Amino acid sequence: MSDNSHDTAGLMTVIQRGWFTAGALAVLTLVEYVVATTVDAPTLWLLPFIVAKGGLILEVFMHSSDLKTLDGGNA
Amino acid sequence: MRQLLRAVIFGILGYLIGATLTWLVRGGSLGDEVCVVFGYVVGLVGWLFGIGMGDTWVREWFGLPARESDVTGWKRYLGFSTDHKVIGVQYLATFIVVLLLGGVAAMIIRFELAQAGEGILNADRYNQVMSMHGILMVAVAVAAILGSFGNYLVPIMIGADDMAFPRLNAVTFWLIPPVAIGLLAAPTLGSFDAGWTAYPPLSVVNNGGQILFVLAVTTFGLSSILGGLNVITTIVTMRAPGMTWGRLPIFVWAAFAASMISLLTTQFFAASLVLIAMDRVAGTVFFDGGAGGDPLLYQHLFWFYSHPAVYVMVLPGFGLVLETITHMSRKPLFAYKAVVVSLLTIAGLSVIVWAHHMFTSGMAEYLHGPFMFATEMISVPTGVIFLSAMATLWRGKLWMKTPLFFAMIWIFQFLMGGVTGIFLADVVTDVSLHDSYFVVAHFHYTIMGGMIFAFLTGIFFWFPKITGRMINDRLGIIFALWLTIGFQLTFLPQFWLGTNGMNRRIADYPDQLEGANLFSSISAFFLGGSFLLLIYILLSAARRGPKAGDNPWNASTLEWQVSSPPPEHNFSGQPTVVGHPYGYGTADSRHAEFAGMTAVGLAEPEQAGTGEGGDNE
Amino acid sequence: MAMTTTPEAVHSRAEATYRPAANRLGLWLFLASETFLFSAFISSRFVVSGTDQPEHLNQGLALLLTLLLLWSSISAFRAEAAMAHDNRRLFHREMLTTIVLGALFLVGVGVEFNEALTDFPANTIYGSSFFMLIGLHAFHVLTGILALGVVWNLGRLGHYGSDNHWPVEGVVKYWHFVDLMWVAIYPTLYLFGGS
Ligand code: HEM
Ligand SMILES: [Cu+2]
Repeated sequence: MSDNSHDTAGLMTVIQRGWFTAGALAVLTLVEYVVATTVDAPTLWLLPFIVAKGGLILEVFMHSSDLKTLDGGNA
Repeated sequence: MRQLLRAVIFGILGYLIGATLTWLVRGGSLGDEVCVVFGYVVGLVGWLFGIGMGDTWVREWFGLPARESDVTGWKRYLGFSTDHKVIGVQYLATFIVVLLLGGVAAMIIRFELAQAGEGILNADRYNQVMSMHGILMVAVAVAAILGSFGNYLVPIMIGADDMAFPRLNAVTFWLIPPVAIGLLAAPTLGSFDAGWTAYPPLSVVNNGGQILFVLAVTTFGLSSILGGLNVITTIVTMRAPGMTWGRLPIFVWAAFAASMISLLTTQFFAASLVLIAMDRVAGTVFFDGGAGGDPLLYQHLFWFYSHPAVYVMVLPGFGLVLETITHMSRKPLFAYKAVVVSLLTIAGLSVIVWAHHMFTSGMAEYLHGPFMFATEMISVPTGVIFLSAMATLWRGKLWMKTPLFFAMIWIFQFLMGGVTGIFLADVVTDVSLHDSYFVVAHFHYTIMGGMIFAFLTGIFFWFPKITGRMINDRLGIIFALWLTIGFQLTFLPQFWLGTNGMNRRIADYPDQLEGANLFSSISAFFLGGSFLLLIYILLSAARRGPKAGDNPWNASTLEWQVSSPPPEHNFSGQPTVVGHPYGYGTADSRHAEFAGMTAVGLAEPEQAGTGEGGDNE
Repeated sequence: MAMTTTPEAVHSRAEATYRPAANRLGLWLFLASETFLFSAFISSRFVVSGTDQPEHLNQGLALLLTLLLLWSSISAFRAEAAMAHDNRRLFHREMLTTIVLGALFLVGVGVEFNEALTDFPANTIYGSSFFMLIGLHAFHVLTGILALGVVWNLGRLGHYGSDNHWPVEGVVKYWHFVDLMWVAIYPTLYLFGGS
């Protein structure tokens, strides 16, 4: 995430990305629920939803990409 | 001192408050297990607050400046110090004491087993003493090396001034005393008698002491997890310039691999114990077969931690032994890269072998083959580490001082443990050997032989660095031989006992096994006696030993390039690493350079070997 | 600490509050470890009771709780972004929103527990898993709320800025992690069993 201070436009882009993600998560959750209540033995059907939701949270909300730059720099 | 006193008071108050409130809310009696649980939790918080978290973190959480302790000298060892060297010594002292306590329990066990029939202990008491011995020793095995040498050596070896999270480090250590208190207080609630493994259904229905076991061991798990987290973060982010992954001393790699295991898998032990606690106090039925639960679930969760845990015990031991061998045979560590790969492979494989402890448990048949195969796979990387130790010694200039003595004995001990492990990993033989004294002998060779002997190697090798004084080498060697002979005489007969029908965890046995048992018991007392010599050696050396100088072994790694004991922040200037740590025998090999210090030379052993305590700088 | 060196120097070297690499890695490792704890409990649920679930599950409430937690994620996300851009007013508002939503979630869990006590108490096999998993998760929500409260208060006192807000980043990451665990727990207890 960019650290531009006092940069309202930058803040808005970041937040917009957050809203898109949250929207996607909400849709996934609702569809997941519908699938679960209509399909018999839905376990396998639900796994893709779990992976997709978890992936979105890790990537966008938890900034998992900062794991790439963690080394102290001596590698 | 003041902190310690405050911690004790807050701990007791916390316990009383937690227990009383619970009692007021739900009635019953104050000694009920629910009250104990809440009392313990609040008491633990009080203890941590009192010992130093209150002065540091909690104050900062409320926007107040932290109060750092300004105690100096020996009093630092009794308080909330964030210095990794102080914490390392705190661990060392604590776990030597726990080792001795566990040893006393062992003597009582062997006293009972010296003769068939009931002696000083009835069957119940026997199980309680045996369980106490087991869990104390497992705690020593898991935490003694990582806690003491992991803390003391890792930051210096990588050229850092401390661990990545010094305060967390202090908290990690100060979680240990409540563990000891919890375990030792168990007799007030009727002790625990389900062994260190605490299998249900017994552990759900036995005396109240089991709940203290659960609480204490969960706390211990928390401490291991936080310790592992700190070690890994330190190694990844705090290495000195030039300290690439390929130049890390081998002990650092070993600590890294072991910490990975304890960081992740310890949670399964915590989970299994929490489920036991829930079944005991909250009325859940996880392990109640009658209500649809499954006691085998516990064994799966438990061994998913407890098999990897044996590598938490032994990998740091590999590290200490390999360090000692390479320095004291004046040769580069043989196959450094292969050893690193092996350490990491062992850590990886260790999580897919757990059910080899369950071959006779009644678990699904089709699991036997895969778990047997995976277990035997681990012998391969373990063998590589063995080969490295042997090949490093091969045609080296062996400097036969106590540490090398211990390291070489270690090779034999662990070989015995590993070879007997194969019979246990093999389903066909394990069906007969399981739960017999063969297993007891196996894990004493691996844990006492593989971990305690490595620990002693480390103590004798780094004692001069930690205290600035040399150990009496002649006494050291006498101790090594005494201990080793006592050990063989005690545990070799147990392999025979196991194959001749002696069951594990049992106070009585068939009369015809009496001879071998008596022999093993007498040897055990002989073995136990050697520890008195160890205490004498360490105490007298700490008080009167000759001055060690900075680098009595003329070793190449960073901790030997600073004073003994090292200064407050380890290095006066920033060390820069320029080469491999074990460049022995290569004329112009250098490991590191310091501002204001000449490059680290690698003197030949003749030069170094003369005279104990000679100051080589 | 010995007094030979100045305590301030000691403090700033060893305990600097903004060391992104170490702090981030430390938190990720902690979360990885926590994932193992949750996995242990989730797999226990499958071992003892497969995907069976009782008929009386309050599906509506569970879906509502899921969406509530999702809403609190976006407010937490906004709070962090706000502090990264020195927008204190937004930070303040969004932190409070997150805390309130978290508290509402706990209230919902309370209602859920209350119904569960009659429909599938702890001494049934589904009830055991239910109380265990929801309880573990609720405990994490509770600690998350407390941590959010501490950080919110310190932010209010002016402790952080765009170039110095590790605690904000850390606590928000933790909060998202709690949501992430719910992504797995929710189907485990409510959906896998079908209808
Ligand atoms: C080198 C390869 C090893 C193999 C193949 C191996 C194999 C086994 C097997 C199959 C068992 C289960 C025996 C039974 O209960 O029937 C066992 C037990 C045990 N092993 Fe090992 N082992 C090895 C190394 C180690 C090491 C390095 C340690 C510790 C540092 C260790 C500690 C233990 C302990 C504590 C037990 C007994 C656990 C209990 O039931 O309380 N083993 N070993
Ligand atoms: Cu094992």
